[in-house]
Amino acid sequence: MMEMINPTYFVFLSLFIFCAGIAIVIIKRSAIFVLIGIELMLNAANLNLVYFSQFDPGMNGVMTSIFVVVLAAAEVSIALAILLNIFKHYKITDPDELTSLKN
Amino acid sequence: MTDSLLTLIIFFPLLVTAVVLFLPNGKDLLIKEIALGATGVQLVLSVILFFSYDASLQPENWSNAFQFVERAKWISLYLGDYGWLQIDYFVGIDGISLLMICLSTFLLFVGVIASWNLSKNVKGYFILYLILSTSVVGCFAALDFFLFYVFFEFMLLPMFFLIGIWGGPRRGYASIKFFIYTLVGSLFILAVMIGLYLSVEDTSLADQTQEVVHSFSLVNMMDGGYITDGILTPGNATEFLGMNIRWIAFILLMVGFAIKLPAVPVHTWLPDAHVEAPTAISVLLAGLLLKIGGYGFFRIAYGIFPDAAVSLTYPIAIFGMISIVYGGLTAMAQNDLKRMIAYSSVSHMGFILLGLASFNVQGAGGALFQMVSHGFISGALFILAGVIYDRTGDRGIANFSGLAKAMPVFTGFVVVFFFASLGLPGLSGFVGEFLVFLGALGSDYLPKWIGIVSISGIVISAAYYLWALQRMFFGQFWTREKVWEQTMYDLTARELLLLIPLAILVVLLGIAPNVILGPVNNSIEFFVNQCFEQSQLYLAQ
Amino acid sequence: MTLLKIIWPLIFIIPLFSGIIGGLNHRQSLKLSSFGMAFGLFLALILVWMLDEPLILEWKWLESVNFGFSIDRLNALLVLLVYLITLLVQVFSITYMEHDPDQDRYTAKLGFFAFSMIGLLMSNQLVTLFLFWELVGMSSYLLIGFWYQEAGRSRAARQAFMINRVADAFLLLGVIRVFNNGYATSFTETLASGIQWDGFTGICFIIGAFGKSAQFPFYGWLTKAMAGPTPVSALIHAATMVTAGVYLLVRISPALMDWNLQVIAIGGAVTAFMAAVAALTQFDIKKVLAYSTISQLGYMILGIGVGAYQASVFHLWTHAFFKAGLFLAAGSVIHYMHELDATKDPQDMRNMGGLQKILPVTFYAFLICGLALSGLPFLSGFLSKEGILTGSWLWGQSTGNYLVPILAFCTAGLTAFYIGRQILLVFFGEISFAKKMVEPLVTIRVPLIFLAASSLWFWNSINPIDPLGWFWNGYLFADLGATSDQHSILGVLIGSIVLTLSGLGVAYWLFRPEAETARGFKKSNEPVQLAGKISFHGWYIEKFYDQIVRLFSKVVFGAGWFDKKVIDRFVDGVGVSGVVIAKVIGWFDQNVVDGLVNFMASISQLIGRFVTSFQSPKIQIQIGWLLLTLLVLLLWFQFLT
Repeated sequence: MMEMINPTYFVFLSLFIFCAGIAIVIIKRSAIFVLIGIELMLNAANLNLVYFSQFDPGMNGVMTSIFVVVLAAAEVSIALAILLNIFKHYKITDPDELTSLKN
Repeated sequence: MTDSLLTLIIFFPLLVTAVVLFLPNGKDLLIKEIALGATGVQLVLSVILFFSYDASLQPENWSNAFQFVERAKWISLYLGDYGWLQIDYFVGIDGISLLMICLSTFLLFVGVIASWNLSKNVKGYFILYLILSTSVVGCFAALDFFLFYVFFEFMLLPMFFLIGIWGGPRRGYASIKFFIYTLVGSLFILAVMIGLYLSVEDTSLADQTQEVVHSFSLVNMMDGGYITDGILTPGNATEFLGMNIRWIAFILLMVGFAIKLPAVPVHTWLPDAHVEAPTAISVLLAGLLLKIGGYGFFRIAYGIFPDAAVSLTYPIAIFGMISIVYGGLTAMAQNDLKRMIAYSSVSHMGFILLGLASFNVQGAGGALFQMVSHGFISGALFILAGVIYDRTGDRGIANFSGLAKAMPVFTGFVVVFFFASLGLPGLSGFVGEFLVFLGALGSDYLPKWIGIVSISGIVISAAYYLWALQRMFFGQFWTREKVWEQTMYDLTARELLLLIPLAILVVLLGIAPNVILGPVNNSIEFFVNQCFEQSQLYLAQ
Repeated sequence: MTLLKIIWPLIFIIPLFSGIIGGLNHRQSLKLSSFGMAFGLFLALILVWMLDEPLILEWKWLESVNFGFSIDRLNALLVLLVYLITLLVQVFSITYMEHDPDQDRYTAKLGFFAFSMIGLLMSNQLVTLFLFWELVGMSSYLLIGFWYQEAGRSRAARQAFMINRVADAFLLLGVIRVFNNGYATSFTETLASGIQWDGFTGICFIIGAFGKSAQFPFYGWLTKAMAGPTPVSALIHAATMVTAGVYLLVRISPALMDWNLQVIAIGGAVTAFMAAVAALTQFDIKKVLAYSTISQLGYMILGIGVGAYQASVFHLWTHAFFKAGLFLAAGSVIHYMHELDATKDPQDMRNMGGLQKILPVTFYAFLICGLALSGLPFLSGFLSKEGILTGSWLWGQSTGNYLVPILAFCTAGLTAFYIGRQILLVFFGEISFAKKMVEPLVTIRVPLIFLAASSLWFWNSINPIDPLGWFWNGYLFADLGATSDQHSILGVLIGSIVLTLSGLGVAYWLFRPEAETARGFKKSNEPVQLAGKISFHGWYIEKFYDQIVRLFSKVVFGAGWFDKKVIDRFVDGVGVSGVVIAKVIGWFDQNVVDGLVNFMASISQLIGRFVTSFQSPKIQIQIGWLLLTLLVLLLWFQFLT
């Protein structure tokens, strides 16, 4: 049986990553960075899920985290595609400057 | 086929309107042709209606007096304490409405030809025109008061725009005046309609529900299907302004329809509306809209309130007499040909009041015949006035002289229709007047002097028509503006096409009035008898 | 009988057809139409010859109102008369209207008139009668105003129609009263039932008849009707249409009450006298004849009133011939005068004189017809007038009312005087112009000769002085069931001859070519003394009409003014006050009601602004707020609950 790592570390680590994600989402002006922030937040959550799933014999947490990863991948790819197109059209990346989707 | 014939006649133009709506703006000729086709179909259908109408029917009460009846539930609401609200799509005809429908479809058809030269916003015009066709015919066929009222009001809007947009220089004033006048009239009718609704129940549906089923059905109202303590139930002693409430209701209805008729003193919208309206609309206005007033007297005022009618014959006859004499006198004072004809309409509509007031078969038949014949004659007269207006843009009687020289055929028609309108025997105008006089002088309810004074109307009408004839058409050829002389060409083929059928009808009805009065005779007799019997019944309560 | 059933509708419709055919053919209209009328005349002769039982035809016109014709001997004979005179007038018109561009219209109108007149005569039901009665009036209107381009003529046509229309309104009232009082509505039934009408109904009919037959006070229209072409005057305003009233009274007289008949007698006598006086001083050749027609119609009416309606019908018959002859001869004179000098009034007798040599046929026709009118023995007029005079005398004896016979006898003298004056003034004396013109052509001569010849006594009766010897008497009145018990009275006979001769004598003495009055006549002006003025202006009847019309037009324009200034003003006033009220309400609405609403709105706006200040368009700031809120909520739940 492996030595258990103190769960406090995990919690703090994921808290840190999550807060960093929030900070990026709120502060950064580029939509790409906002995406990165979102990814960070998702993964912070994943971390928690994976760690605490060891107490769950059904392994639901792991399963959920796998779903989240898949979802995140899909989401990122679509979001990037949209952002790319927006950039092509309007030459902007700041989500606030984007006021209309029609010409 | 005959099951839904009436609905087809009413709504066919509306159906076509939907088609016209989707046509592009530029296709004027096509739109005119479609409108002609639509009204033509309507005409053909109504001819079928006329010939499949069973003239031998002798009804016992109003509920079996109507033919081609169609009835469907339209609005059915539970109103708690007020019982069930029941509005039906309920149409059917008896002889009176049969004649009116045939007259309408004919004049509507004629009206399309009369507006053939129109070039301003053709699409809008014909859309309104077709809506008008539906509502006019619907009005004559409706047997549900609510439905009648809807059609009645629906007529106003197209008319308002047709005068207000396509009219003459003072069209704004005229159309507003027309609209407000008529609207005031309809308000009176509306008030009575609600009162009637609250006092009448539909016994045929009462078995299915425990509640009282109120109804707008005219048949119920005419047959006296009153609830025991309704506001307009006969025998209700409620008084208003010192008069029985039923009398008040009757007077409100009479005023409402008299505005439409129009009778003196609520007639002043008519000359203005006529003068400003385009020719075809004048034809419809005089030929049909006025008749709705007369028809309302028959179907609603007299049909539902015979007790009040029989007690108020005297004032009604006096108003009729005043309309006849005063309308004629005023017509003579006019300087505008169209205005003169409009006032002559007022005079001729007085005969309807007088005929109804006499409360006998001759009077009622005469009033009905007068409506039909006046429809044809005044239609033709307005077309004739339009002919001059088309050519010169002017209609002043004093601005022309000796037109017979330049326009002999036109003058021939003018002579025929003027004489028809002044009541020359052998033309249709005489028959109605003769019957009305026969009724008025033979009535048990009227003093003789009213009829005798009214007979002076035939002298007055001769005076103004012949005077106009002499001033405008005889003498040396002369027009106020030299340019007009060039444009005074005789009737075109289209105008002949309009006038010849009208002339034939006027002569035919004058020689053989029984062609139309024969088939509807039973209806008129039933109408008068029923009114009489019910008035006795109600008055006894 | 079957033959008659076929030919009577033909007789009825032929004038209309020949009018239409003539009207459609511009160049030969009158000739074509004449052939049609000649054929109709032939049929009418067959009808008169073969008819013994009255033919009756009826059908339902309206419920309880029938339309019906009946042909008995009286109207068969009168139909024949109408055909005959119409044909002669048409033949005469071929020349008279030669140069008129509107001949086709003329023909059509004549055909229409003959059709309506025959319809009137054949009518049995009162409604049918009234129908044709009015059609006759209308065709008369159309023909009087034939030259519509002359304003005066079309005005005259209108006035004539209007005067008739007033009387017709009474006739209509009478017809309606017959219906409403439950009397029989046809002539045949009225006669068979023997019921008498009430007096008022009778008076209505009498007024109607007086209107059409130009009796007092309606006679003014007949002088106006002279505005029409002269052949038309001959046909309509002398021979046929104006006798419709007489015909009607003959038909209804069995149903009239005694005092109605008295009204008829007095009305006729007064009219006869008044018109004869008016004829004395006229300058217009046609006006003399018009007044003379009125006067003679007065005789016929009088005859009915006194019960001598057989004599009236006889007089109607003879009068039709000699008066049509007089008018056609006058037409020939006018035609000549017009050709001679178009600038002068061709109808003014002051321009005439000595025409005897230029128009011999016309002269003899005028002479014979004129003397027949005056009532000289051996001419037709004497016979028929004698019957009426006798009747009036007997009536005077039985009722003690001698006004009627006295007026009738006075009229006889006056008639002789004015017609003698006219003959002398027109045909005798010097010719003031030399232009010789082609004597009237065959088309003019034949009708004149025919009409003059038929004014001789032997066409009517073998005995030249027996008014009851009329050939048609037995034919006509046998089936009416009444043969007259009158016999000619020697005194009346002598009296009337004396009066006629003295009238003619005075006329000759005053207007013989060498007399002072005759010489001065050409330069004379309108009379100035009262009697002369009354006569010349026809008892001022037209002034009387003018007064009525003036009064009426005041009423008319009063009504027009009232409608425009009072009723319409009132309506407009209601409209305007509605607008004013609406404006006031609008102000109130805008400033008071809406002010309140606006105040509320601005308060909420303030609040809104304040709240909006939290908001930011930046997404990220919003997210920040979101998170903050979430945090606050979390802390709240964590620590405070």
